[in-house]
Amino acid sequence: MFSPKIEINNPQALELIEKIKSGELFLPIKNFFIRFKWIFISVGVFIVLLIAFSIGKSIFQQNPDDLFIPPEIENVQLSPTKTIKSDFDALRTNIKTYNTELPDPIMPPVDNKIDLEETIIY
Amino acid sequence: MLFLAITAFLFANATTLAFADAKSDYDYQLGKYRQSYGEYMVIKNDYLSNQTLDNQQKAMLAAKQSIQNRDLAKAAFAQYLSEMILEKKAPYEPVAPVLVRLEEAKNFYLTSAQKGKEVITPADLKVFTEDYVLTTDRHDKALKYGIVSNKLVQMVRFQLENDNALNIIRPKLPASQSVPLKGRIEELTALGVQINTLIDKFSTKILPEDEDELLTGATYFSEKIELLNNIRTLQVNWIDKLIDVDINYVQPKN
Repeated sequence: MFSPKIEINNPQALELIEKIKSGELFLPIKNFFIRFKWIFISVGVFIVLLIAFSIGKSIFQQNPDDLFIPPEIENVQLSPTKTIKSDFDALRTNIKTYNTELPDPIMPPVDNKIDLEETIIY
Repeated sequence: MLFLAITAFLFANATTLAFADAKSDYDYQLGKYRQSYGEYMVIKNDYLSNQTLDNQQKAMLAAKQSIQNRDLAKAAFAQYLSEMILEKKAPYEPVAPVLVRLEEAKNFYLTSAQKGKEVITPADLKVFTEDYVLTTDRHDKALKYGIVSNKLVQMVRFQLENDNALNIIRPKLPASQSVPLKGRIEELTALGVQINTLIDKFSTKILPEDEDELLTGATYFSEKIELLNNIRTLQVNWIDKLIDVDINYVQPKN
């Protein structure tokens, strides 16, 4: 079977191949991932939680619980309360609401000392 | 017949009408006093800052007008209190001296209003006012007695109405009274006597034994309020008991 043999003579290509082989080329990427590993882990956990939540929600919606409907209660008819009135309710209200504050009516607010003297305020 | 009915109606309403007139007269006189007193204060201050003969004359006229309106307002107030007491149609002997004092006060204020017109010079005004301050005190106190008496007479009015209510109920009660019913009627009678005693006790406090003792309005009135409240509470208690009898013993019969 024909298998072409490729010879690489370009020094730049050779250098690149060497870097790939030694892993030197991936070192900055590796360092970047090491530096921010906790962020990547956190994002990963969050994404997993979101996925778990959406899966749980879809499962819950597929199997809704039976709706509980309470049995009907008979309408309770309250017996009408008979308000007993007396002929003397009005008199009671008059007494109860009578104003006992004094003075009522108030004394006429007048000046007993009307003169042309200068008023001295102490 | 119609004439008799009209006459009876007018006679029955005469006191109420007189009371309404006394109230409007008092409001009118007090309004006049307030207006003239405001003017007097302005003119007096003008006179005190610039004591010319012209300003003095103006101040004298304003002072005389204020004096006249003040005493007419007080006289109208005394009349208003008397009418209020009489309007309640609850004759109560201990209040009679207060009505006499109110009449005296009214006459004093009316005479003073006339005397105020005769004042000519600032010296006359000074003497008049000094004399007035000394003599008006007794009559101003009568106004306070009138205010308290008016409240007391209302309490007497309630007692009369309560008594009347009991008299209405009595014939409607069963002929053979049960023990609880008898007990309730006895309670009503006893409570009625207690209220009457309290009213009598109150009446002795309207006119103080020594009128010359310091009688500031606030002190005089505040000590009466508690007594009035006590009487009213007992009267409410009384009417509650009567209503209870009415509902439980009179209404079921009908």
